[in-house]
Amino acid sequence: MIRALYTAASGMSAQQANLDTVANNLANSATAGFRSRRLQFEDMIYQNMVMPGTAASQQTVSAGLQIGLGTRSAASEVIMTQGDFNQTNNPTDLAIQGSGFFQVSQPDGTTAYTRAGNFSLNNQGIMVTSNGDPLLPNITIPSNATSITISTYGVVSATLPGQQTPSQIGQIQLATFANPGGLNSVGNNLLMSSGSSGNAITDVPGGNSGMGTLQQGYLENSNVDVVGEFVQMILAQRAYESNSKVIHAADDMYSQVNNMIR
Amino acid sequence: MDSGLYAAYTGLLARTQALDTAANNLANAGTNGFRSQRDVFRDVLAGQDAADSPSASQLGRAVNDFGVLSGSSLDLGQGQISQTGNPTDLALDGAGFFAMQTAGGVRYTRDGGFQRSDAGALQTSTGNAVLDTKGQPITLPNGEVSISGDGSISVNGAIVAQVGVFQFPQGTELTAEGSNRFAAPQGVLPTAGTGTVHQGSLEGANEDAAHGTLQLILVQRQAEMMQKALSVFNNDFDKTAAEDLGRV
Repeated sequence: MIRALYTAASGMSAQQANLDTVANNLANSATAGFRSRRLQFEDMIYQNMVMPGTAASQQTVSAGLQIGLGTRSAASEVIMTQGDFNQTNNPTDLAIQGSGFFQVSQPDGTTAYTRAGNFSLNNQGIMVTSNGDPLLPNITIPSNATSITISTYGVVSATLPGQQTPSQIGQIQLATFANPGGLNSVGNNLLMSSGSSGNAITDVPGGNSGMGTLQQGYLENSNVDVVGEFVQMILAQRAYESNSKVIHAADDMYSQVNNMIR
Repeated sequence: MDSGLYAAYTGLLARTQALDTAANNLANAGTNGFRSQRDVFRDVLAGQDAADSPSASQLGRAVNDFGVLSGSSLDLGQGQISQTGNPTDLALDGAGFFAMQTAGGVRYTRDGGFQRSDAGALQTSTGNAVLDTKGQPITLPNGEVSISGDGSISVNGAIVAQVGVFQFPQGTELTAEGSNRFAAPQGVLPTAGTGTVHQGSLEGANEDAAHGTLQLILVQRQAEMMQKALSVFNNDFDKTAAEDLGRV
């Protein structure tokens, strides 16, 4: 009976973690380039009272008696589907149509990856994220440029005063990973490579490595499916409730046993 | 003392274990590919003195009607399939298991939440290699992965492997190991499974809250009955024997 209490408690804490994940997904449903997460559970070890397949008599084998000891959160999987595109008309807003990531250089020299393409210019004319981290490789827009064009293949061109044709000033490169689901979220819309994701493979957009192409003047919304998250929320709430019922039942049975002798 | 006291006691003990199973089923209602366990009760005096045989003694019948928990069997029914959109999430519709390589040998699972490792191998969320139809690990080249109903994986349009789906002869008792894994008994060889693979989906547990709660109420009420029976033996009968009879 004590087993049932701990088992139900493991179910309740798992559902709590599930609700935490849903809450974070919903809170970020308007964050550009956000990737939703889904919590995965697995069953805990089993207590083997009778091993399955042991001989019950000379002719029969037992079905085994295994009592499971609850559940635990195993992984929070990143859902890597494409988010919706949102037209902004801002020339430095970029959306990736495909599986690539923008590369961003961090103040400590490491490279982080992001799907959020809401870039702007800093005081030196370098394209930076909303946190001021420069895009890699660095793209410097001349201060006298009258217009910026970024092609679907990542070629950045600027029209300068007195020139008829725009001149190429940079090339944006994207990165992909063997296992993008294994990237480490560090907040600020940034992801870092990890042992699970593998090393970044970099290439120009539209190449053969499946980076995808760029769309200038668009932003990618989060891929949070709000209806799906509400369904998850209801499921988590109900599962939490039924686990608390188990605790109640175990407590009830325990108190009956305690009251057997009056 | 009365044999009925022990009969009620074994019954109560069995119900507390049954509550543990019900609790585990409900706790895992959100676990992908979880197979719920069903209790098997059996009579105490098995074999020649079965309760329904005419030769069964009154005593045997009394004891047998309460029963002890003798085993738990896996319910292999289908769980709900829900869409995730991740290309390496696989759900099985129908009979069968995916196979994976662990340190302790080949293990089977219904949880198809797979991913690609940094080296390109298809693996489970705990990092065990997923096996193909011939029992070999699967390596995926970079590119768009699409997986058909029979488990054939194609990357950028070229077939690279086929995910193995295995099933066991009727009556094979699988051992649940935790971490969504099942072990097959030694010497039992699986055959090709008949289940269909769905890409971008995961199969949930085959435990629903309604059934779990019903199981819970049943166990609770049965335990209450056993407890009542115990207290009748304990308080009424023995009190009569010890106190009232002594006064005569």
